Amino acid sequence: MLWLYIDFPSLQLDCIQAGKAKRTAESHVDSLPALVIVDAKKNCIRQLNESATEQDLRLGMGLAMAASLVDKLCVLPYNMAEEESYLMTLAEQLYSVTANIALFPPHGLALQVDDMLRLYHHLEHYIATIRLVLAPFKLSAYFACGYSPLSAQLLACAGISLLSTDKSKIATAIATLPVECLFISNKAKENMTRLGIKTFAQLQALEVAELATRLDANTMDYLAQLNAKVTKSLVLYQPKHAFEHSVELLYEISTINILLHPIKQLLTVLEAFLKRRDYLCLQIELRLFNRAEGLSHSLQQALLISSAAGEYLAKHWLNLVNLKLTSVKLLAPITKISLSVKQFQANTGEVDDIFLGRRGQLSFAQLASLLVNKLGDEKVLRMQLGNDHRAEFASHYLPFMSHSVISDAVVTPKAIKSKQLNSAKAMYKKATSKHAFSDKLPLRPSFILPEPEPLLSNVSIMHGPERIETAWWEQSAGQYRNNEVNSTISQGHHYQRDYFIAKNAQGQCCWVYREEKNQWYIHGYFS
Amino acid sequence: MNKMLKQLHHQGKIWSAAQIHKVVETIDSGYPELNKNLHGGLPCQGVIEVQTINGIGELRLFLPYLLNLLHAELAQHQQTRQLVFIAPPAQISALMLLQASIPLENLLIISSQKPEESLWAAEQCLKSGCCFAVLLWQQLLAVHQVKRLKQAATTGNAVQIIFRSPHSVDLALPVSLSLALEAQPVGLKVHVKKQLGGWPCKAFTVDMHKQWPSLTVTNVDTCKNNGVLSNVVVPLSSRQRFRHVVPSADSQRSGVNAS
Repeated sequence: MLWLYIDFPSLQLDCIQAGKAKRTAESHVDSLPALVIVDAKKNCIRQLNESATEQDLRLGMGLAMAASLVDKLCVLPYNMAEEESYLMTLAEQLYSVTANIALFPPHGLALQVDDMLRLYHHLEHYIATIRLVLAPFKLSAYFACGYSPLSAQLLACAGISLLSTDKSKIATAIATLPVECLFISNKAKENMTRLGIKTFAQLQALEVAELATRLDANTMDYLAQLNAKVTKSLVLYQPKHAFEHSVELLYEISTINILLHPIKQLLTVLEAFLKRRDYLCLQIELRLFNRAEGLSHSLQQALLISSAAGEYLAKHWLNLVNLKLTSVKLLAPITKISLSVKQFQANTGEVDDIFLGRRGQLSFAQLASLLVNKLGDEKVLRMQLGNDHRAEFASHYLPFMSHSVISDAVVTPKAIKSKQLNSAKAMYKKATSKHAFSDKLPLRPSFILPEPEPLLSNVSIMHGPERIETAWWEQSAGQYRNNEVNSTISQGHHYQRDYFIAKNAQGQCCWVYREEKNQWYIHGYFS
Repeated sequence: MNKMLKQLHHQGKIWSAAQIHKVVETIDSGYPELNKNLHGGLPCQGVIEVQTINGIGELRLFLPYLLNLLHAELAQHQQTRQLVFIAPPAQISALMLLQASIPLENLLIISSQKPEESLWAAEQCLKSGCCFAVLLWQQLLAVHQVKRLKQAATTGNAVQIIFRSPHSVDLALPVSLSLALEAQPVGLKVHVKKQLGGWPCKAFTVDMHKQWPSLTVTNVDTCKNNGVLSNVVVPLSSRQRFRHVVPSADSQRSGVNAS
């Protein structure tokens, strides 16, 4: 089986630089400072950029030596977890053009070629497609083919780019490699040098049985896998269901307008993710990290941005994020942004009137999400009837998002459609059978004051009285009810009021009541 | 020349005085007096400014109109758009709306405190095209803000009603209709300050007794009850205002002078 191994020797560095290059596209490239990534454990340079190479820095140098060679040195710690997450991103992108992807963390990928050649016919086409996918990341990479994933790895990691399906060509290329390149323990390598084996060709020349007496089992296993005599069990990439991406910022950002650029980058990745799966999402979570003592990224705040209608377009989400950020105060400059989406919804398309089309620019759900994100959840409200005869409990506000959208979103599209039809019909019926039950409702004021106010001016009574009393079953439960249902109203205690409709000197229609002790209050206005 | 005129007329680019009723598309307001004075009713689209104090029936004046708009939508498209209340002066009661047959599913309330937030929300709602009417309580308005709202209302085919207190700083706002309301025993006294495609007319009274018998009196009643103090409530004296929480039993009581 033919495998293509891609090695990214400076994955972490390239990813950081790609992000920066985009932002500073106009400024000169040669003004980049020497950037090195240092392995803290071994105290040696693992990755370095071009300007660092120009200034005579080399891989494997100690940090002290590098610092003494270059005065303006930018040092970043090597982070394996980060590199692995970059690798996952690459695999995710490549998954759209190739099937079997074996991960070799922290910075290698092996792709199974021969199945894909049926689709692409020629190796060149296949490689060109893969290069096209990788192009936006601007990575330095070594591509090598081999008839086992390990032989391809061996070539690529040795820095040999070999693209061929020719078995003998590959074999000769491997044969010239020194044994130091092999991925075996140092002890085994030492053993081989003691035996006088310097190149891979010499190793191949020996009998397996003879070697087995000199080398340990792990090394023999490795060699067998390398020669494709034993198939290696590989971890193949499986596309994730949840979306999680992050951008590390090269410098700290404290202005929201600038922060929108990396966010846009993330949203574009999300758009591609959603589009490929034909999904929409209703809520995204944006986490902002800042520098804190000891940690380069500590979570500052997590923002939940929700949309009432499922969206996938980066444009729409950016708009919502922008609105949300206007009400957010950054506590410290941001160093990292991550975006995660956990729940998705199938894209079912929207039903619009074919003749009238959409009149405005938005659907109602889109409008609601705009409002909620800008003004806050507690300010966009729906109204609901309460099951109580007291006016202050008879109707109450509910936050829009908790009221309708979440429950609607779970329902399947078919159900939504039928529901819409039903509700439209019902509404039509209700509206046409005018005043069928509305006449039976008691007359209540349009504006109810949050707290009854003492009556301070002369009024003349027009209608009344109407006695409203707390029901006996509520008298004990009053306190409980207050906490549970409507915490905004604090008048849970028992009362007995005689309500009147009255007009004051300005002609305002007030809803006044008299308490048992003959005190008068205004409870609302009929407007 | 004549041919050119004809062509322009055909394209509807020339407005002639005979077309006055077509300038503004109106809908039945539910009150015959209002319809008579406003060329058939209230406009279906645009910005309506209402100068009024709260609680004299200003909302009741518009409820039949809003319901008519709702019905017209239902008859046309089998579905309705939203009615939005922005920054109402107090909590709106659902019972009142149900009584006026306005379904609660079509209601959105935005309780913003800042004027700029309210205006922003109003503009978004109007231009979204999914709201048929936006009711806004806002005191200060600038010319450019009204223009924006008007533009948004045209985009979204919606109507914007703005409630302001009377005698607000009276700039010549580019509204489609401007009304000043005053309380009357039978209903409301309406003064048309400005209307698009028409002249300001003399103040007239809108009779609300038929729709709201308990809140208004008929003309006959007014005459009969005039000067009778039988149902006047004497409020708490100023000294008591501060003690109303713990009144003593023998303190001066205020109450209804029973007739």
